[in-house]
Amino acid sequence: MADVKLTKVVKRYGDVETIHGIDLDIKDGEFVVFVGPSGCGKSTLLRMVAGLEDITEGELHIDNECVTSVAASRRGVAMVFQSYALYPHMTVRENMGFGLKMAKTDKAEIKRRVDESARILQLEPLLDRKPKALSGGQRQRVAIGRTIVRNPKVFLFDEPLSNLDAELRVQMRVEIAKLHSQLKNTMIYVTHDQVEAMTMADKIVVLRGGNIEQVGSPIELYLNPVNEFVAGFIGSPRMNFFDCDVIAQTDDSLTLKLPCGEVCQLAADVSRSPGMTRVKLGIRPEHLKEDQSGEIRIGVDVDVVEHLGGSTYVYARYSGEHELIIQTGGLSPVRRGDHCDFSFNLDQCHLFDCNGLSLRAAKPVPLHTQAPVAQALSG
Amino acid sequence: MNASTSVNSSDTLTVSSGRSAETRRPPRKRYVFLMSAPALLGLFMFMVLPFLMALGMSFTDQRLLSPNATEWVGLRNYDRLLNISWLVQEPVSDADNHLKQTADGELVYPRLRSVLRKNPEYKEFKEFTHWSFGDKRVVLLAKDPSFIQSIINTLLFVILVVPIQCGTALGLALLINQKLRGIFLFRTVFFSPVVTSIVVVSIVWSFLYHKDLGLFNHYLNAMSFGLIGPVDWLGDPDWAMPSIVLMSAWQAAGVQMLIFLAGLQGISGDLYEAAELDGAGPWGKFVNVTLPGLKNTTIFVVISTTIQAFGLFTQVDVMTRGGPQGSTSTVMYHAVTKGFREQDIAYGSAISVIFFLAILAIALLQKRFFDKREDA
Repeated sequence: MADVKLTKVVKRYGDVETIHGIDLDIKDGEFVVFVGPSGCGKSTLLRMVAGLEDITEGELHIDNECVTSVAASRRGVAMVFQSYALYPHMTVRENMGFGLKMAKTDKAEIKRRVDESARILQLEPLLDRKPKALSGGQRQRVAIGRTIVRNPKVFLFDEPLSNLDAELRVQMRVEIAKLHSQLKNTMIYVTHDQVEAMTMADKIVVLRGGNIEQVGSPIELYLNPVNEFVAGFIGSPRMNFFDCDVIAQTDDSLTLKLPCGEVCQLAADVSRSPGMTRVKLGIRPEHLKEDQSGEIRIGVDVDVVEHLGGSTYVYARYSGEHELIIQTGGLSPVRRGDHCDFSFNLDQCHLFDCNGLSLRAAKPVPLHTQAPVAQALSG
Repeated sequence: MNASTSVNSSDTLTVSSGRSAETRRPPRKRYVFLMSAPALLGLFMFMVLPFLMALGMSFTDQRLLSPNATEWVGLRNYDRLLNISWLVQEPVSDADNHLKQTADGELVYPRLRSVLRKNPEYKEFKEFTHWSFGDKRVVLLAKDPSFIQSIINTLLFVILVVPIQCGTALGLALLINQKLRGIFLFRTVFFSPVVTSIVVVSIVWSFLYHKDLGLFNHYLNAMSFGLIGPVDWLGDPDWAMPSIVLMSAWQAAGVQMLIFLAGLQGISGDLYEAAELDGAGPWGKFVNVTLPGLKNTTIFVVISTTIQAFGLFTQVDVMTRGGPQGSTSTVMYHAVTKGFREQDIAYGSAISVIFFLAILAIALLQKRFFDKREDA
């Protein structure tokens, strides 16, 4: 059980800087997900916490102890790898007990702890098998079991579900979430899959190009993305953006002309960027409605319709050139080639200035959507 | 199609449809045979046929140059090769029943040659070695003692060279697997002895090993401040074989090094990182990740090195000619000496047949041993 604190952490490979001074506080018992596109530095950051990569500058504290230059095995962390990284010549039991064996733990104690972790993960029938005799999901469970056995302060997961098929991925996702609620250890989880991030995290850290873009609970990021990148990254399908001309602006509102020519007024905090001529308006696919109940109506030409049963994705063009995605009800009558109207409400729109920064005031995040840890802190 | 013109019309249809099916699907077997024919022919002419001839010759008294007709001699050559026997000698005592002793206090035994000549059972046998057993002396006899000596030398060479060569190769592979600038240069340097002719290497090392002029003795002398005197590396029966072992391991380790390097690069980096997090040090990682990861590579390297080591000939031929006192004569060297230098090609053939069977057996045993461990 431990806090993790990163202070101005920098990673350089020769002259190339990949992590640019990251500050991050992770509270004891939090489930934190690092998410971002390929090459954003999320895995590097995790490996720096693990001790597999040196920290070029800055400090890392685990459990209030500076571990910046402490060896990986002494940091009290355990890691689950994407490739599982099970020792192929050892049985499941030996794999799980290897860390304790290296630490010269008493044999009876190793057996007790391996048996206990195996019970938690229902691995008991597999203990005498070798990894090659296990399925992907079982291997991943063994890899997790190996970390539990060591009873680390912090669990680290490096894209652990990427090698599993879709169904197993959902199943393991739930198991890892359950495990967290059972063990209550601090966990840091790296993924490029924003659904995994949204479903598992107490706190999501969105990274891009070696910088933190935003830190917050999943719903906070969904409701109040601080910039265009986070808005586009969080939420599936991704948010639609259109360029709009600014007609008039006051201190707390903007009057915009939409691409279709319609004019509307939106509340906006424009104190940071006065004199704008163009802004980006963002609207999530699920906020576009098939009925005409919304405040703003837009006409679109439908290109592709995907019926998923529970919902329907409509890929369409708006004003001839702007591509957009609409998520509607499961049995939508919209067909390919149709020209139809959709509507949306202005309070569900996001606005971004030319630098991509959000211009809208933050919406309140419902307390019940926050993680227990955050609830406890705010309560 | 031309073939079908001479037959009647109904047959033409069948034949031509058969032909068209054939053109659609080329006769694979024929091509396979055609393409592999040159290699198969070579193998047959230079490996299979000579071996069969050797097998046949080993049952005759064929000599390379001889005015006498070749005769069928059955298993005589094999009998000469493999027949061993022993006899126990009582010490000689005088009239008073006291044991006779030499001036050095050693017991006196009846002259072996007289004993062997007197007894037709020991016809053709010569002494291979002897040892004392209480007052008695046990003499081990063989029809061809130098063949038995050669077998022992060959086994000694294999037992010494396989671990040294494989160990060196693994060590070098670990070194050149580092991600360092200019590591390519080291790979080339470590591999270069392999592409140098073994004859050249043997001659150069003969100079290095030279008792008076050799570099090794010079350095040994200098580094031990004259305490370690000149060692007669190739002239001392105790040192000759180890000297050849060292040189052979040095010369051939490059090949195994490359194979080990390929094996090392096939081990996932994640395993090393997992081991690091599990608290394994460099030795722990080597034992728990590297060695198990190289298991299949090691099996291959050990078997191929063993087979190669059994064929030791060139180094011996160039450096020691089997000496001193037969201490470096190997089975291969003995076969060549008997078969070509002494022109007894039938006997040389028998040696090669036995040698072939022995290597086959050892390779199969090794494979079974490793297969069993695989299952375990």
